[in-house]
Amino acid sequence: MKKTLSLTRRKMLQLTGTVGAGALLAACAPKVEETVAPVDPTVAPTVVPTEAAATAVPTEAASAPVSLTVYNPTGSFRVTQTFVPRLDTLDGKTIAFVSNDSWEADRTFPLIQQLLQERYPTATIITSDNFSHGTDRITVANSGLGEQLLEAGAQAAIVGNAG
Amino acid sequence: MAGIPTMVLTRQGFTQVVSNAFAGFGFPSDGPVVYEFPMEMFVKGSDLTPLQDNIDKVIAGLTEWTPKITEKGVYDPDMVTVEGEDYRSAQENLNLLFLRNQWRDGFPVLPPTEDQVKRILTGTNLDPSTEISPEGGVVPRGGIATVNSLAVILAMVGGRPEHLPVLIAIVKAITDPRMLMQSWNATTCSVIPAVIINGPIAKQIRLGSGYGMLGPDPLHPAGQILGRAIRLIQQDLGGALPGNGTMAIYGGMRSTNAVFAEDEEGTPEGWTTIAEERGYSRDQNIVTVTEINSMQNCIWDFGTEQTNNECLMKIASQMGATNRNRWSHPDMWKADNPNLCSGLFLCPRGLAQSLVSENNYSKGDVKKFLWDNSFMPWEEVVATGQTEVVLELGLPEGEAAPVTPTPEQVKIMVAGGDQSGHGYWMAAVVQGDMVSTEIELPPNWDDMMKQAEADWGPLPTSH
Repeated sequence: MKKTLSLTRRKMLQLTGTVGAGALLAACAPKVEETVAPVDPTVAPTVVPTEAAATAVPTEAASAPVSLTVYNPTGSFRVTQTFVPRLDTLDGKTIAFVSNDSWEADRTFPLIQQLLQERYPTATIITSDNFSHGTDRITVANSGLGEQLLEAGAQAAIVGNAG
Repeated sequence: MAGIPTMVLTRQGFTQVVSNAFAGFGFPSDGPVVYEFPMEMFVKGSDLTPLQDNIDKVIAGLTEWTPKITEKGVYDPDMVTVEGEDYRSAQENLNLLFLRNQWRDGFPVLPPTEDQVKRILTGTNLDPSTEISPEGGVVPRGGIATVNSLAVILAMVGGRPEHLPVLIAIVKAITDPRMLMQSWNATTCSVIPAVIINGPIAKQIRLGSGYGMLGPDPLHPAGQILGRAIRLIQQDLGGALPGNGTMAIYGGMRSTNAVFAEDEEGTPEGWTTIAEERGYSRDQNIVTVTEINSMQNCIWDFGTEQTNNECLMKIASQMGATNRNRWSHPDMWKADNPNLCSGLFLCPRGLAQSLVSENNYSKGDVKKFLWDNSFMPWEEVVATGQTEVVLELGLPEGEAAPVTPTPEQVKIMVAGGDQSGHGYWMAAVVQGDMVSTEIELPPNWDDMMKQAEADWGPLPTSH
């Protein structure tokens, strides 16, 4: 039967005086080669198995700190469109509403429209019934929604409700 | 959109879904969501005070919000370094980090180090930067599936070089635009990709088509390895996190999906395999993928003409069960669409061979039998609220509704343990086409097989 060294982690921490294991994440750290500290058999304590022996307590711990450098599994992504700059103010602007007709958009949109009009009396509001609306009609590629908004002179758009 | 600053009124917990939607169109993956309104606000008759109190957030979305990324291009994530007092500790810390970052599935992962990924890359002669996913990446998030990123995922799940060419073919298939991954990867249906492998490679990589073929099997581990890899690709590259990128209410069998081989040896003389039906020859290594959302095991006695018909009736009764998913996408529901798949009948070899010897059934006869006996009665269509769905397909009102437009479109494959006392019906979600693609092997494939045999021992004799 092969001699084995069996050590609980708790016991090893006690022996080395380590308070607790810690993790250091360095997302931009220089590449560190992966190292694995093998147990040095020349210093490993001898364990004499007995019938009753289930675990053995070594007189010396044999390990070294390890750094693992690994790939981020989320992979690359390609940005082909960037978000346009925001407006400096909504004063005098034309604000369009685009609705998926879901999740109480028929109630939230009128309230937003009212609040915006009160805050920006010179803003022009174009309600959602002036454009394609409903989930099936606004999520299909090439739905023409962008063209509809441009034709209406929209300078900002509020889309909802996402849920 | 259209060069117009836009903000999205979003409920609590839905920001990532919105971001994924924008990413799918090539925008950076932080969408214009400034604030999440409480979920209660979005139900019927709700109190809209939160909206009134936070109108400034709506305004900020149009006037103040700034994205983190402002330039077009390809963005690569940095390598990640984790430390520990010894190897075990470092490995544990890595697993904790991957869980916190939602890069793991709950099972432990192995470290995807450069060395390990390099080893797995020997499974193909494609350049690691080769993009497998089409423009737009793995939807909805849009992460790019390169050969390297697939090798990273395989390293995490304990894959080997010989799994890589198969995974490349699988990802080609599941990201094929005809499969409509943007639907089934995000849908509320609990959909999984079912992957069928045909050709000599199935045995070579130790993929099962017999006992326990859909579950864990130490003699045929490829199904679990590849299935888990697919899941992590959907999650890590595609952003399919429960309740966030994927809205599947239950999400069953997603840990390992369903990756299995057709029992080609057990397929009776005169019957074609799934790959042959789709125009390939038996010596070609083919991946075929479809979307499945539920499964039913049927127990039976077989061996005589009568009991064999009874077996088929059991499967037909499952095929005809209330399941509007087979009618999900009217564009797919066409008599001349060979890629329409309403489900898979897994027929064990014993029954298949008996259907030929006792009933004199060709595969086409079995398809016709199943089709004829799986119509949904009109009363059931009405009682289950599916009238509108059925009529939208162009089916006649008042008449029983079939499982596919024609019997030829019923999909049957031989698979299952030798005892053959059970069959399996895997019901599909018709949100996209069934897609097949060929597996390309590297020039050093034979050497890889020799190494696999040295590492794992001889190939198992059971199928």
